[in-house]
This record gives sequence, C-alpha cells and structure tokens, in this order.
Amino acid sequence: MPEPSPQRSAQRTRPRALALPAVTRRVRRVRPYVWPLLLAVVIAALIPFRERLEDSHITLALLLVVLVAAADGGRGVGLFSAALAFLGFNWFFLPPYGTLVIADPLDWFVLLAFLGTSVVASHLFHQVQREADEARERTAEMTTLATLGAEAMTAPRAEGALRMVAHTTREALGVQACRVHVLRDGDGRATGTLESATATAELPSSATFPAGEGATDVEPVWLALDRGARVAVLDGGVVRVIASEASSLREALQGERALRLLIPLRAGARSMGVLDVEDAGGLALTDPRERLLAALAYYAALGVERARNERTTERLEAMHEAERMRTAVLASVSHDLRTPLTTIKALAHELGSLGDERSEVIEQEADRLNAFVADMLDMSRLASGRFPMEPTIVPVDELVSAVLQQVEGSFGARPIRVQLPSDDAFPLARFDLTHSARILVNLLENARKYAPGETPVDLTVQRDGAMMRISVADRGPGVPPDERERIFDALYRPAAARPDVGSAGLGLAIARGLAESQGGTLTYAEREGGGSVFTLSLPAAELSDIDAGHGGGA
Amino acid sequence: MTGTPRFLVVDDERQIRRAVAHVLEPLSGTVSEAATGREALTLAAAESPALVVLDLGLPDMDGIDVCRELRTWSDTPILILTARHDDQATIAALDAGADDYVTKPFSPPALQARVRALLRRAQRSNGSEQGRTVIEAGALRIDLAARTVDRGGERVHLTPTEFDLLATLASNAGRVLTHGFLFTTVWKGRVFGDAQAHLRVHVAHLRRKLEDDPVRPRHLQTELGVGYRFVTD
Repeated sequence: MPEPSPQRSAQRTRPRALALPAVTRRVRRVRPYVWPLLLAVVIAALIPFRERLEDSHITLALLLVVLVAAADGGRGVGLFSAALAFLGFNWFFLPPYGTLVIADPLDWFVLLAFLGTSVVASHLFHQVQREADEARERTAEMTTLATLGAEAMTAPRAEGALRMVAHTTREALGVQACRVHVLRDGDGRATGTLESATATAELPSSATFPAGEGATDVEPVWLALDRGARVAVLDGGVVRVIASEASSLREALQGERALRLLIPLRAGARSMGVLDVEDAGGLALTDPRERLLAALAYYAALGVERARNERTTERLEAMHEAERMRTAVLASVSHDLRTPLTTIKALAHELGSLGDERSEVIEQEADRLNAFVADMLDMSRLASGRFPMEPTIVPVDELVSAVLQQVEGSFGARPIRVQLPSDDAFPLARFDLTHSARILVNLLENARKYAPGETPVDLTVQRDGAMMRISVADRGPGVPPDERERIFDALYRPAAARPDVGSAGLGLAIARGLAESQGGTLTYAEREGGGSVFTLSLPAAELSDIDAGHGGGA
Repeated sequence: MTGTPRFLVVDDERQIRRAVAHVLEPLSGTVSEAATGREALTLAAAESPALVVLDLGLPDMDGIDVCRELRTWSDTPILILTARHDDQATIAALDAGADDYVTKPFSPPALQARVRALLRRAQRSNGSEQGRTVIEAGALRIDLAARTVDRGGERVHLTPTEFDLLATLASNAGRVLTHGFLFTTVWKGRVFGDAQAHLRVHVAHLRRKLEDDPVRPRHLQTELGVGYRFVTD
C-alpha cells in the first residue's frame, strides 16, 4: 500500500482504518504463538504440585491464561488456547495421568465446564472486540467525511475542491485511483465535454483537465452519466450497469470482482458528474465501505455543484464586464463621431452661405452618418435588452404632433394626412413617447423615400379594443409577400432598393424592437389599391387610468 | 453692456468652439472662448456676456454645475449643447437654470434661430415689456391679470389649471420648461396620480382649444423627453 502524499500526512493524521481492505485490522501487542507457550509453561509449572492441588485451582489458572489469550489474540487464539488447555488438563491433571482416559465421571463434568467456559469467554471477547473495531471504523469514516466536507466547501477554488474529493476518496477507500468527472456545457454525451480531477497512487493529489487523459476509458463514465446509474467494470473488461433499484452493489454483483466502480453524481434529476474509483487488484465491497462510498459520492456531488456554480458565476461576471465595455465603447464612439460631424456641418453651412451648392450634400451626408450612429447605438442597446423605456399614459395627439414636427420639414410640400378617431374621444395609450416617436418618424421617412413623387402619406389613429393602432400608409410599390417578415430583420435591404436610399437597413428592425420592448407590435400589411401599411399597435389607456392606484385627484 | 453683444462659447473641443463661433458671427457679436468650466465662470464674470453657449461635457467640472453657479449671480441666457440619448443631463441643466438646448450635431440655422430667440427674450425682460400683464401670440391674447384668453377676438373658456399652465408657458416664451418645473409651478407640488400624464393631457386640451391644427401646434410645442416650449410667433 503506497503512502499518501507526504505533506498531507505530515499535516494531519488521517484515519487509515479503511485503507486495508481485505484484512480486519486489530491492534496487537503480543504475537499469537506466545499464548500456547505460556499455557505450556503454566501447565509445566503446575505438574509438580498436581497431587496437592484441586481440579478447580488448576482449571482457574488455565482459564485465566485462555481468557487473556482470547482477549489479546482474538477468537482464533482463544479457541486454540482453550483446546490446548483442555487437552493439557486432561493429559496431565486428570487421573490416570498421561492418558486421555477419564476415570471419574465427575471429572467429565469439570472438563466440559472448563471447555464451555473457555469457548464462551473467547466468543464474548471476540464480540466486544468486533464492536470496538466497528466503532473505530465509524469514527474514522466520520472524521474522513467531516474533513472532506469542510475541505470541499472551503477549498479556495472549486477545481481545488474536486481535487480534494478525489484525493480523500482514494485515501479513504484505499484504492489505486479516484477520479471526479464533471460534465461541462451540455446535457450528455452528445453536447457535453468532460473534465476530471484525478488522484492516483503515483500522483496522490493531482488534477487533470480535461478528461480522457492517458489510458482512462471514458466510455463507462458516459454510460453512468447518461443512464444516471452506477456502473461496474468487472474482471475481463465486462461493463455492467447496476439498476438503480438495487440498493447494494455487493448483492448486485453477486460476488463478481469489480475493478472499477462509477457512481453518478446528481443534482436534482440530472447527473452532472461521476465519481470513479479504480483498483487493479479488485474493489472489496462491504456494507460499511459501500456506505462510505455513497457518502463520498454525496460530497463529490457537492464539489461538482460548486464547480459548476463557480463557472456560471464567472461567465456572468465576464458577460457583465463585456456589456459594460460595450456600452462604454459605444458611448465614446458616438461622442467622438459627433464632434467632427458638428464641425463638418458648421463648415458646410458656412460654405453654403458663400454660394457653394455642394455644401447641402455635405450637410445631408453628415446627417445620414449621424442617423447611422444613432441606429447602431439603439440596435446595440436593444440587443443587450437594456433599453431605457418609460411607458406612461400619453395622449396620442402628443405623439402625432411630435412626429409631424420632426418629419414635415423633410416632406416639404408633400402632404401627410392625419386622421384621428372620428368620435370626439380623447385617444390615450401607454407608451414611451420618445421611442414611439422614433418608430413613427422612421415609418414616415421610409414612406417618403420609397413611395413615388408627391403621393400623400396617411397617418391614421384608430382604437381597436385594448390596442391603439397607429398606421402609416403609402402608395409605394409595397413589399413582395416573401419579404414581408424579412424587412424587420437587421441589415435587410429590399432587393429593388436604390443604393442611395436609407441607411444600413437597421431602421425597421429597431422600430420593431422598440415597439415590442414597450408592450406593442409593429406589423406590415398590403394596402388596398397598392402600397404598404405599417401599423404600430400600443396598449390603449383610459383617462381614469391616470389616477388609478395613486389615490389623489387632479 | 456695449452696443455689440458679446458671446461666450464653452466647449473643451476647439473645433466645436470654432464651429459655434462661425455660426454666431453673422449675429454681429464678438465671441470669447473657454475650454473649461472654471475658465468659463471667470470669463463670464469679467465680460458679462449677452449669451453663453455651454457644452455639458467639460473636463474639469459638470456643465450642470456651471449653469447653477452662473445662475447665482447672472441672468444671462444659457444655451446648452447636448448629445441625443442624454435627456436626463439636458433636463438637469435646464432645471439648473439653462434656458434652451441644442443637440449635437446641430444645424447652424437652428442654432442661430435659438440664439436670436434667446437674445430677443432677454431684451424684452430687461426693457419696457417687463412686468407686462398681456401676452400676444398670433391670434391669441392672454391677459395674465384678468386671467382671460381670447382667440381671434373670441373668449376661450379654460379651467383654472389650464390657465395656470398656459400662463406659465407663455410668460417663459421661447424657453424650454421641463416637466418637473411645470409640476412644481402649476400644481405646486400637490400629490396627484401620474403627474406626467396629467400634464400631457392638459397640454393636449389646451392645444385643442387654442391651436388651429392641434396635431401641428404653432404655440405649444413638445420638446421630446424634456418638456414644452411656448412659441409666440
């Protein structure tokens, strides 16, 4: 049996009660053959006085030696001493001396009583001793587990905890190798990968990541993981899956020698790792050892769970950091781009005032670039799910007027026909004014770009049950049926689009994203008589909602 | 103050200062430039400019603090330069005493128009019109003392809250008033339901009563994400 890693055993005295699997270990002070010798000496010493001594004196003296022998040497030595004492007593002390013949029937009784007492006493001693041994084993188990638990939970990193579990398990069971396999990034063999912490006789507390290093056969590991069942590798490479109903491994194996045992480590219903113990000399299975193995598997599961949690936490932290960086970079890019754009626009205007007509183009292009930067910023914020939305109850009039204020400059003489609900109702909806205005500005600008000439664009507001529908309708070419959903994809550009129209194609994707993140929708429909209708639907609201839940009145 | 107005342009980017100066030149004024908040406050104290154009992102101090400090001893109009997506900073600057804002990259004519409007307003409040009780805007005639409003010669009925709101906006014509400012001035901080929604509904009612085309308001204009502005002409 190899020694545990030297620095460890120097640090603490680890219980070794279970490290010798095949032999019941006892504390022995005297060699067993001393006792028959002592018995012979006592017998020899008593022979000169046998005429003067009564049977009871002799039997007591011999019994004393037998009991001490049994107490010290265990049942075997006790029984052997008892038999020897029985023969010696008969031969040397019961007349006729020198024979095993018993003359007096009363001597029969003495002899049998002596034998009976010796045997019973030996048995009792043995019993007591076994119980003491078991108690010692239990204590050792408890100490092992307590140490393991504390180490598994306090090891500075989860990887260290797994290594600790592998090392302690190997030591506690006295096997050649112990590995703890962890399933990474998946649910099973198809999608996951394995990582393993390994402790072997040669490398008592080393860890190897990932799994499958050297000659280790990972097939049984996958089997245990996928089935969620214990797996035994028997002599001759036979692999046996042990049904989970079978409580005892020893019974399930029916005496066959296992060289390797794999216990699935579970978190809830899922197996997330495997405890894998191996010994080329065979694994001896007793009830206490199975119990210990189950307890070790429990700790291994804790360690695995911890490793997984740590990984998740690390990943989340990395994501947060990436997100923070992205926001910072975008904010900085948008600021850094705006400064030159401002300068360009101002200089272009100055050129224009000097009579250079091309300056107008420069200004327009600067505006386009600025719009593009804004789109990129919005797209990124939408993608990260961190768009600041403040839906409040707003009169739809306000939305319409804010939108018209922004777009009518670029529409020039081209009319935007606004139609509010015909009844005298005061249309209210719950939305974020700034972002909804951005959606409608986008739709109106698209209509201006894609619909021909001076055809009017219609902006219509209608109440439809719980929704307020605001639609922008044009007399443009419309969108072919197979492109009607794709137009909402980021970076989509209609096949027939003129290359100088629009920006990077983010517009409708952003518009839909903005609509959905405030509880609305943005849809396309073909317009009767030709053209497109884009409809922004927002949750309708009532005047009474304004005070609802706030107690006070205006 | 001398005959030609003096402007103070505050921005840490030299190119932006130059661009703003070019825009302001046609207004026949002289332009001083400052790159930091401290420099701006020193120059403002020394030169008493007719108008300050202030960028909010300064290297040494927050532009909002510059507004606040300037306001403790000066009434000079402050026009701030801000970035889109930064409504909160804009609102904070306006609440700290700035009069109006322009988002970068600005269009030169728009900046010029804003500057002109602010100068006019400053002249009015310094001159004989100070303390006037009647405001005229297009077809509207608002009598602050009598609390009446006429539209094209006809009396318009307003609720007391509607009148207070209109009076507040009209007496600050040309300035952007934030939602927060309007709550505290008109509703005097009284607790009621959704404050912003109340304000918007009242503005919408005013538009229906006062504007020729309520969805294309001439006088009661929305400043998205920030507040409202009353425009006289």
